[in-house]
Amino acid sequence: MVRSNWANATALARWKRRRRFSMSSLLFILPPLIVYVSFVAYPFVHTVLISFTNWDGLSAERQWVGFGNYAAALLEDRQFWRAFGNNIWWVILGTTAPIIIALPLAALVTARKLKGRNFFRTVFFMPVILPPMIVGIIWGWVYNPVFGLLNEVLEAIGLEVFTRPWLGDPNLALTSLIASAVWAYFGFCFVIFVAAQQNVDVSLLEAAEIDGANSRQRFMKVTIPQLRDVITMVGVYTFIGGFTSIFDIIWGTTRGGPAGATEVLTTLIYRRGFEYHRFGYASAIAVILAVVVIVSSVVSVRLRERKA
Amino acid sequence: MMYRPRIVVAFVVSLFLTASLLWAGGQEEAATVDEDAVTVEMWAIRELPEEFYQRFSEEHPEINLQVEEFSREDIRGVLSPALQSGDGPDLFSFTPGPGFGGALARAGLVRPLEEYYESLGWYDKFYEWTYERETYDGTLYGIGDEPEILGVFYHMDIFEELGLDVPKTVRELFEVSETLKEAGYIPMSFGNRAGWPAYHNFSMVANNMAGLDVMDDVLFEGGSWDRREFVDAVQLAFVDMVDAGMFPDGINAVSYDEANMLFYTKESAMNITGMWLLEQIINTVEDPESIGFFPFPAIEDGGPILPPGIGTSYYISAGSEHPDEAAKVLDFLFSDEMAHFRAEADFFLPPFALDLDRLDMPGLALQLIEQVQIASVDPDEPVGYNIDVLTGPQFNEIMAEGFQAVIGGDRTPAEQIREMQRAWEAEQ
Repeated sequence: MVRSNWANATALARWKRRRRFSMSSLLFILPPLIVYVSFVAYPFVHTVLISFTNWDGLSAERQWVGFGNYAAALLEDRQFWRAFGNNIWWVILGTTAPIIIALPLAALVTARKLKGRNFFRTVFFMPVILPPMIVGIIWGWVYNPVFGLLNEVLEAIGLEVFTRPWLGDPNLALTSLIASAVWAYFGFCFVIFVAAQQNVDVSLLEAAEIDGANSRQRFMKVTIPQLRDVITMVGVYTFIGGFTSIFDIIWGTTRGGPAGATEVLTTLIYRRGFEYHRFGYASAIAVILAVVVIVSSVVSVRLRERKA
Repeated sequence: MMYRPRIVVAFVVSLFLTASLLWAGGQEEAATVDEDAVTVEMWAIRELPEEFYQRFSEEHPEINLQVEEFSREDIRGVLSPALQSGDGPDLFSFTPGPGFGGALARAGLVRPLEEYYESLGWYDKFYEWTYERETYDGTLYGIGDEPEILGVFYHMDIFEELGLDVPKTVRELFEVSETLKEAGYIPMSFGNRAGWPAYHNFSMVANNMAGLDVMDDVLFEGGSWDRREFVDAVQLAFVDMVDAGMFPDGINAVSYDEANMLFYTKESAMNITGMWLLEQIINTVEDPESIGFFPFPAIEDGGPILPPGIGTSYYISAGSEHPDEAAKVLDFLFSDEMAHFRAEADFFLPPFALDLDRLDMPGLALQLIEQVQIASVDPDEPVGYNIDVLTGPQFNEIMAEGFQAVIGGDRTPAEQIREMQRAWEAEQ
């Protein structure tokens, strides 16, 4: 009986401690939770609800239209599919190019013999600190058909046959913009890869060297496999950014033009919401975009994990 | 840790002063007002001269006018939520047209103004066409300010040097352009990166090509855009003029400002745009007296049709608790005295005729003001339409995108007109 009382008292004290612990944990979690619910969860749920209405963003009235907005976007709006296609092109080029450029550069910079390593790190990373809108403005000047640097250089070296209105030609504008985004972004991948390569097991590299592997083989067969998780992380991050973080650079240069050639889903959402006053419809596109990003991110991570 | 009280005090004082300056900078307030004055809040996309505040407070001490200034872009983001939440201004200036002021009117966010047009005599004072364009679903909601016309600015000295006359027909315009090209000039500035500058070129050519009856039929009587005249207008404005080398290379990648810069630096001899550029031209070019203006030439014989439009509109919020006082502010803003003052200060025209003899301003400005006034009151003067301020956002987007596509060779003029008709039907 005495023992039982003692055991009960101990259990009670443990429970109280745990409860105190969980209460204090909750107190710590509460402020960010409030911020998260206010600025992420609530707007997201609200957007989903609006997507089922015909709200114009101005009047107090809104009518329930069910999946009408979704049907209109997916079945009737040609601009939606064009913007989606542009997003896919951006994601493919904009995800692979920075990784392909940054990986070997990071390998070169981390090579023991290279002098001025810090200089290169700084130079390559510098564009990352520029806001996307500024990147857009800078590249708008570079590509300008009247006084742009690119055409001037091409003319100066006798290649005037290649001068183009880079952002004015519907066939070139998107790729030109992606190139500027890659310039602005590859430095981020580069810094991550530099950091990751410093954790590559040197003994494996040395063993490969003793076995007669040349530098390319060591890079492909030893370094890259060890960077797999980092490459996945950078890839997913860039992939998501290819859908969601490209508004500024497009708005700062072409605003989706010429002739819709650089329209992507985020610029389309802005247009439909703020220019057409079709907030319900714009919300439906935003929800579709969110679903595409979430599903494709989860699938790509899972596939990578299964392979690993 | 040792505190240094003086530094702390100095920091707090400087913080306070900075905050005060920022507050004072953001808010313009009438100088002296009665203690029990009613506060009227105004959001403006146009800077109002200091003179306005002084004179207003002298004449209306019973109103405490507070004005907050916004750029045209910025106000679009903040105005609608403010009006919906009930925290918006009592009155504001905004972009006119069905996609802007019209959208607010249809959402019930602005107040009908007929009673003030009646009681304050605005019907008799303002040009009829300006308030017709502020009428949505039969109700008059705003005051259309800054009437303006579209046309072509040109360097008179270059024309003189090359022995050129102002073109009266499109054929003459092509001949003039050829001479200018041979002399090493870009004939005409036009930058269409934003898409909207092409609206104006289309308006100018379409009015001339189709004539007023057809324009009236399409815009107000259910007629179709899908007509030969409009296909020809697109062909002329965005194929023939481009192919003739009349514009800079790569116009879809040239911004409106860059195109203007080409004109200011005399790399181009003409600039196809609108009257709103007047102030910038006068303040930028070395010799404003050497700049002339002509309406876009007639297609063949006969006079050109001027397409006027409204630059800015004024509205009273539906939720304003002081609409009568807000109307008094507008009545003062559009008094003869203030209108003359604003015209001289910033070249902004009011929606009624000014006494030209009283105006002290450069010849170019006087010439343009006279043209607007004649076009607004003379029944014999053919006045057309600046199309984009009469059409909805979907139609305008199709114009912007489609004209770029036609310029880029990705769409034919006939296809573009069919797209415009589809968008027009969807918005009707």
